[in-house]
Amino acid sequence: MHAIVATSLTKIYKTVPNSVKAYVRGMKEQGPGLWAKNIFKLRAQKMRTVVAVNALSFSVEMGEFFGIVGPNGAGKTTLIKLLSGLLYPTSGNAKILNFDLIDHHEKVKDKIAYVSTSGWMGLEWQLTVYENLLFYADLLKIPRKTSKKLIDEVIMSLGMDEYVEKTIPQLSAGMRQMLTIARGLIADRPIIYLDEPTTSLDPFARKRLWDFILKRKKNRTVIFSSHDPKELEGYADRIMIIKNGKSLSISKPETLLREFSTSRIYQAELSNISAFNLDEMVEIIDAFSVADKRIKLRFLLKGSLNDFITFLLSKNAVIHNITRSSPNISDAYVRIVRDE
Amino acid sequence: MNDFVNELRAVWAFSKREMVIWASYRVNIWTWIIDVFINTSIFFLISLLVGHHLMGAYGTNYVSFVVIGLSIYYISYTNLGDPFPRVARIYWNGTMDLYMLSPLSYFTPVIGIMFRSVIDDYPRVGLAFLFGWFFFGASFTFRVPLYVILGVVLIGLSTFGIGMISASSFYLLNFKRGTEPVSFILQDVVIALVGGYYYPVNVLPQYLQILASFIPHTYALDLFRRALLPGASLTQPVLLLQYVLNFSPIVVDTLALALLSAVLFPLGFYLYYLGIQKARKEGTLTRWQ
Repeated sequence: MHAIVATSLTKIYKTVPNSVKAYVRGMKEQGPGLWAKNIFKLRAQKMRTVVAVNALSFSVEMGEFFGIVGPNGAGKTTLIKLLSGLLYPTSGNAKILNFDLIDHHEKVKDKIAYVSTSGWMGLEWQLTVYENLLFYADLLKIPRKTSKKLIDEVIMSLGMDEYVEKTIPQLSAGMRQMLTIARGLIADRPIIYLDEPTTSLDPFARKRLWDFILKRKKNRTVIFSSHDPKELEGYADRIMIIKNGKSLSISKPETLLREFSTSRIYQAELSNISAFNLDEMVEIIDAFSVADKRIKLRFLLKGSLNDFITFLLSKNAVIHNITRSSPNISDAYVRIVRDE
Repeated sequence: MNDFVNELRAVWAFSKREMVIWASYRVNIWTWIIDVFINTSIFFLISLLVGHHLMGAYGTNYVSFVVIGLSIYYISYTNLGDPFPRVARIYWNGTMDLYMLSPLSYFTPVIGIMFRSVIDDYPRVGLAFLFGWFFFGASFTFRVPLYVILGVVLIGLSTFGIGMISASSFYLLNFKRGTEPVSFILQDVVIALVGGYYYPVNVLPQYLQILASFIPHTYALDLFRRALLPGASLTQPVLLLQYVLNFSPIVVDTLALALLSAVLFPLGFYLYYLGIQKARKEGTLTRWQ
């Protein structure tokens, strides 16, 4: 059985063109000026359209860990909101556990847990960590006996036990994000949507989160979005790469790597040359400075290695080392996104 | 039945949270008491100046008359004026997504969050009666209790209906900042002028009395004043509709309130529902995407 089947899912936003915005900006921000501004927005005929999700068709198996990766603004959040029923698609539809997303949203919402990127803003700032979770458990209509057990489990697993009596302003950004995740996950639902949940988390907190998700994953489907493909390596069963709302690839991580292994990737440490001067010879995957005038970079050769070395010597660059590097998921991702 | 109990449990959860928030601002309670005291004393001072000669069918004590006006004002201020800022708070906090994915009805969060205003504003009614009676010579009676109870329920429903119409404009008409026109036009302009909080409606020019006939406050104030003010008439018509219909004025008030509630309450909820649907189409349920 499929957990999710999306068919030509499309979301087109209509926004007010900048020219109209510029025109109404001068109006007062209160009273009749504002009303006129809003009515003007409603009446604006020449709306600009933004295709956030463009005819996506895919399915996710029950129990699958499905990663959605894409650069900022690729449409990841919009896609997750569409799949959770928070947004109506402009066209197309999806079925969640065989329930129509639009017609049976009441049933769909009982099947999903949702953690949003900016969810920490909606935490209850005057309440403690524990009270926050208890409050949302009540809203989710989880019986008190069960909810206390669930909350204790989530708090322990996510390493928040020291913070239960603290209020939100007393928490670090990472802990707020952890609480946001905990709040989303106290609902024990078969489908879990995690929209860039690791924002603000340190590596230890990330590890705790991953352990918790993997423990929870049994019999559950996880949809996880991120702009960092490395994060999903080793966890995701399949990865969808999206850009500008379009799906560029949906494959298993090993398939992605296999397709990319024909490419020749090297890493080098160089001095007396800037990474900007290398564009004509290589496609840089990542580069950073290790010391004054010394850079370390990973790159894809455009020509032969000999040509590249000759080029470096002609520019008086110092070559500290050059070695072959095996491709990783980020390389595949960067290549696919850049090629589009 | 279970669903209803669960919705009540959710409202209770919101209420407890709102109580914690309200109690965390301790100066609230003092400003709140002083505000009611000052309002009542202002009208006592006005009564010393103008006397009680304009009261007509509503007895002879202007302070008693205006205490009822203040009470309906407090209820209306909450029910009519509060849903819009509560919806705005949900939107700006980014919690609408979570509420939409919870098993709650669309309306439970708004009703639940409004509890803060209920604990803040409703007790002012009691305080206004207390201060009026204790310090400023107001006196009250308690006739036709069934009509009073009905009146309380109906003015609650009808003003909350208008409040939800106002709240629906947040999504339906994109009024996301500044003054919201529905509550401004109705509460701050029309009702403030013709509702009859501080003077009997029959002192207004006839065209304004016609306008007052479409406002629930007019009938609620008439009903409560007849029922609660010593010496008020239960038979002498004051409002236009009471002249037209050949029933007891209190029955006319109750029928008019029932009719307005039957229209405004479901209309408010329906428009709010439409607003949410529109936001789901446009992707504007929360500020933070």
